[in-house]
Amino acid sequence: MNNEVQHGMNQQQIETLLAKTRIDLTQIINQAGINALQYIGSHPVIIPSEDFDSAESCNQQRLKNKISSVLTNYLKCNYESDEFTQNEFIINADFTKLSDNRIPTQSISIRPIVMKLKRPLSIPFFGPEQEQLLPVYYQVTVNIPLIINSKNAHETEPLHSTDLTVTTVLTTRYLGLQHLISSFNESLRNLGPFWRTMTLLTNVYSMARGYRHYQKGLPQNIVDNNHLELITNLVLLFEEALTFGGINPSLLIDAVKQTKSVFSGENINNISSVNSLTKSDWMVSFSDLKESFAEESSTDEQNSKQQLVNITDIASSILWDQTSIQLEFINENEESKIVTYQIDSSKSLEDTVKEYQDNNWVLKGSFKGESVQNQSTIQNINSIAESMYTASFSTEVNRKGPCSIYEGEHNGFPIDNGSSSWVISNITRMSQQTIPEKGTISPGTIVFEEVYTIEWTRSHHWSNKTSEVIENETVIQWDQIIVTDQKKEQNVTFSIKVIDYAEMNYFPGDILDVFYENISADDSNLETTIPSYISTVYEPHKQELFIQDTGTYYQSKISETVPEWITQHAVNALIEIYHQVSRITVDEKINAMNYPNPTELLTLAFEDMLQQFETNKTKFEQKTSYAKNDVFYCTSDKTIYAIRCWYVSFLHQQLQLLSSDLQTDVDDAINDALETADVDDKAVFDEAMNDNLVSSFQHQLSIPFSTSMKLKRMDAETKGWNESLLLSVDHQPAYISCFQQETIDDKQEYFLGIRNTCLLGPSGLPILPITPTTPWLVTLNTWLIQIRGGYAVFSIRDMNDETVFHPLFCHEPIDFTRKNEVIRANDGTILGWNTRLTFAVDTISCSLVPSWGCMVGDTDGVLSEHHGKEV
Amino acid sequence: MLLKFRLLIKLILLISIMSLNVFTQPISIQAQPSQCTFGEIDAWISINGKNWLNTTISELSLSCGQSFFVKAKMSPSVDDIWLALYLFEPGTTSTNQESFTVIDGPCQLNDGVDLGKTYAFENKTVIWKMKVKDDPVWKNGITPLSLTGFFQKQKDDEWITEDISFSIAAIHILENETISDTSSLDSEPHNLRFISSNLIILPIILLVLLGLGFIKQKK
Repeated sequence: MNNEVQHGMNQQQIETLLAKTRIDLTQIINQAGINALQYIGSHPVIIPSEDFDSAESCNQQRLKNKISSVLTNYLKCNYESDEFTQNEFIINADFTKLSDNRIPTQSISIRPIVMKLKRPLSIPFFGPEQEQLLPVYYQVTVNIPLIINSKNAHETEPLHSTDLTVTTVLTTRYLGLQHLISSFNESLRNLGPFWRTMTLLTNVYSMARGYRHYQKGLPQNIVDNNHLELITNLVLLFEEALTFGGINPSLLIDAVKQTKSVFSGENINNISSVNSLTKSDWMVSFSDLKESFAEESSTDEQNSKQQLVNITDIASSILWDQTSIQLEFINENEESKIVTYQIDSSKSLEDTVKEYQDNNWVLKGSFKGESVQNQSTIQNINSIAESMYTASFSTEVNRKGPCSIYEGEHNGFPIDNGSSSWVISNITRMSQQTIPEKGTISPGTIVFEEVYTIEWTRSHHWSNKTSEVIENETVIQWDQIIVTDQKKEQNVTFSIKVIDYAEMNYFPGDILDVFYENISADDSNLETTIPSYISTVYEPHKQELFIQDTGTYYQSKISETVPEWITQHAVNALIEIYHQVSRITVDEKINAMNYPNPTELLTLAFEDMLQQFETNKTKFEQKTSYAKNDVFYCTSDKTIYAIRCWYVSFLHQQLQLLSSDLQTDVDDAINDALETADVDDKAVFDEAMNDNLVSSFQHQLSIPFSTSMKLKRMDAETKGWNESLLLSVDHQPAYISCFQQETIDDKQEYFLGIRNTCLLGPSGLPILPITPTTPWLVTLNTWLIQIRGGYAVFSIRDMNDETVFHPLFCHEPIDFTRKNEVIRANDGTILGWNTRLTFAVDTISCSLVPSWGCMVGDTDGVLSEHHGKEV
Repeated sequence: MLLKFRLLIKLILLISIMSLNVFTQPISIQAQPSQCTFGEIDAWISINGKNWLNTTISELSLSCGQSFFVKAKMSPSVDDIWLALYLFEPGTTSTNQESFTVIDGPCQLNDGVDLGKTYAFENKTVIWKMKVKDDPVWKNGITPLSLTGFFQKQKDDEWITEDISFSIAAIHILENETISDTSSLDSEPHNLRFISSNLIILPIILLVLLGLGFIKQKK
C-alpha cells in the first residue's frame, strides 16, 4: 500500500516537473519565434531560391532554424547538468536522441492560425471583402526528448523518459501582415480592385473632359498624364484605406498638394513626408556646445553651419591664439551684459561665471573674443624658412697630379744624412673655376675649384767619409755638404662641393637655378651661400689646405638671409588652407539619429572627416602651384610649400589625436555614468544604443492614420478570442510621380510609368447611321491607359503589438516590409529575394459625345503621351 | 574694298558657326558612382560593348530586337562584405510584361546575382548582354531598366544590408526603326546626337550662301 502511495506521489511530482518544464520551454520558443519573425518580417523572402518550394516554406524554415538554435542553446545551458529539479527529481534533455546535439528542425512543426478579419469599411467590387479569412498567427509544436532521474538514485537507467510536446502560439501577427500585403499586391494587379477603380475613375474623367471638349473645343488633351498620375495615387490611397484600414499620411498630404497644383497650375516640387522624417531634421550637433574661436573664421560661411565635429576650430587653433572670451549674461529684468574674460586671467572661467550667477546674472551664451597670431606657429614658419635657405658645403683636396723631385748636387757626398721637411717655396694657381652655369647644380656638384702647382724645397744633408793612416793610426774624416732639394707638385686641386641645400635630404625636390637670384620672384635663392663659404670658410683655411693630404675638409652650413616677405606669404597660404579645410563637413548621414551610440558616432564622424581630409591633402598642399616635374621654381616656393605640408601634416596629426582623446573621454564618461547607475556590464549599453535603436525610434514615431480592424478566431474551442488590429502604412516614395525622378548622388530612379494613347485619333469615330436631325448618332473615342510602377519600400506596421520587447521603449511594433533585398543564410548562401511591391494595369477609357459640336479626341497633336511627353 | 570687307565678315561668320559645331560635339559625361557606408556602385550601358555611357541615361532610344550591354561595378570599401545585384524593370513581374530579355549574363531580368564575399577595394564587375524584345508590351513607350546593389555585412546571426537602387536608363523603345550605325549611338546620348547632326547643316548652308555671294559679285 505504501509503495502504491509512494508511486502515486512520484508520478504526481514527475507530472508537475513536466508541466513546469513545458511552461519554461514554451516561453523560450515563443520568445525565439517572436524575435525570428520580427527579423523575417523586416527581411522576408518573396522569391525563394531553388532549394525551397515556396517563399512560405523558406520563411518557415528560417523560423524553424532560429527556434532550433535558441532552444538547443537553452537546453544545453539549463537541461544538461541537473539544473532543473522538482523535489527529488531532476529533468534533463536527452541529447543522445538528438543528432548533432541539437533540436532538429524536422521535430518543429508550424501551423497557421486563421482568423476572421473584419474591416471597418468596405466598398464591394472596388476593394477587398469586408470580412476575410486571414492566417494571422503561427502555432509551433516542438518535440523535445527529456529524461527524468531521481536525485538519490544512482541507476544508470533513467527513471522516466519522454518526448515532451511543447505547443505555443507565437504571439505576433507576422503572418497576418504578410497576407495583408500579399492581398494588397494582388489587388493592384490584373483585373483586381485597383484596375476596377482606375477604370471607373478614368472613364468618368474622360467622359467629363470629352463633353467639355465637345462644348468648347477645350481641353485639347482630353486624357492628360498629369491627371492620370494624380488619379493613380488617389486610387492607391483608396485601396490602402480599404485593405489596411489606414493610409500613409504623407501620400494623403502630397495628393492634396498635387490636386491643388493640378487645378491651380502651380508646380509643387517639395513633396513632404510625415512618416519618413528627413534625417537631417533630427541631427544633433555636439558643436552647439562650442564656438569657433578663429578670428578669420567669422567670415567663413561654412563655419556658421553647426557640425558634429568642427574641423575649423582645430585648424584655427594652430593659426591663432584666443586671448579672451565674451560672456553674455542676462538678469531677471531681461537686461544683458557682455563680460570679456581674459584667458590668461588668474581667475578661472568657472569662478567668473559663478561670481555673476551669485549676483543674479544668468549665463546666456559665450562668444569668441580677441585672438592673436599663434607665435609658436610663426616660429615654426621662420624655422622652416631658415632651414630651407641653407646650403652645406665641403672642400675636397685632391693631390693626384704628377709630382717630381729634384735633388741638389752632391757629387762626392754619397752618404745621405737626412733632410728637413718640405717647405713650400712657390705656389702658382694654374686655373680657377667659379660657380657653374645655371641648371647644372645638384647635391654633389662642385661649385668652385682651383688648381695649383706647388713648389717645395728642403735642405738635404750629404756627407763623405775618408780615412787616412797617420802614424799607425787611422784617421777618419767626414766631409759634409748641405744641398737644397726641390719638388714640383702639379694639379693640386681644391674643390668646393655642395653637399645639400634647401633640406633636399629631408624634403626632396630640387630648385630651379638655386644658386642664382630669381629677380622676377624677388627671391635671392641661395645666391650668396657659395661666395659666403669661400670667403668665410675656404679662404681663411686655404693655406692649411696646401699642406693637407687628399680628403674632405671644412664641411659647413651656410645660411642665406630669408626674404622678409616670406613669413607673411606663408601665413596667407596657411589661411588659404584653413578656409579650404573649413569646407569639410561630416556626412549628414552620420548623425545621432542614425548612430545613437556616441562612441560609434564619433568614430564614424572622425573617420569620415579624416577620409575627406586625406582625399583633399594634395589640394591643400598645392604642389603644382610651386613646382613643375618636382622642380620648384625658387627657394621661396619650396619654403612655402614645405610650410603648407607642415600645416597639413600637423593638422592631420591633431585630428587623429583629438579623435582618440575624444573617444577615450566619451568612453570614460559613459563608464562613469554606468558605474553611478550600478550597471556592471557595458554590453547592456551597447546593445541598447545599437543601430536598431534608430529603426525602433522611427517605428515608435509612426503615426497610425488608421482605424482598428477586428480579428476573431473561428474554431469552436477558442470562441471569444477577439482582438483588434491597428496598422500603420508607410511607403517610399509616398506620392509616386512619372514626371519627377528620385535623384540620389548622380543617379536617378523612376518609379511610375504612365502611357495613354488616343486610339481613334483626334476626331474620334462617328457612329452611324445618319439620322434625320444629325449627321451621325454619337462620336466615340477611346484611350488605352497603361500604368505600371512600384514602391522602393512598402511596409505595414502592427501598432498595437506589444509582444516584441525593447530595452528602451518596452516594446516595439513588428512590421512587414517589401523592398528589393537579398536574403542570406548564416553561411552566406542566398535563401531568396525580397522584392518591391509593384503594380501594372492596362485599361480603356472612353468618351461619348453627341454629334454636331466638336468631335472628341486629343487635338493637341499628341496621340500617345508618355510621362507627359509625346512619343 | 567693300567686297573684301563683306568676304571677311562672311568668313568670320563661317568660322564662328563651325566652331559652335565643334563645341556642341557630344561629350559623354562621367557621373559619380552611388555610395553607401559599405562601398559604391556604378553602372554603364552600351550598344556595342565597347563605348559605355555612365548611368543614369535619361532617354536612350532602342529599336525592337536591338541588343545592348549593361555593365555594373561594385566596389566595397570595407572588408568582409557580401555583394549581390538585382536587375529589374520597374512595375513588371511576369515575362510577358518585360520589355527586355537577357541574352547572356549572370542573371535574368527581375532576378538577382550573388557576387559573394569580398574584401575592401576588391571590385566586382558584371556584364549583361540584353536585347529589346521583338514585340514588347511597352512598345513606343519609355521604360526604365533599374538595378539594386546590395552590400551586406554579417553581424551575429543577422545581416546588415546597405542597398543602392537607381535606373540605368530610361529606354525609349522604338517600334519599327532600325539603327544601322550603332557606333555613333553608343558614343553619345541620343539628344546630343540630334543637336550635332542638325548643327552640321548650318555651315553647309553658309558655304552655299558664300558661293552664291561670290557668283553674284563676279556677275
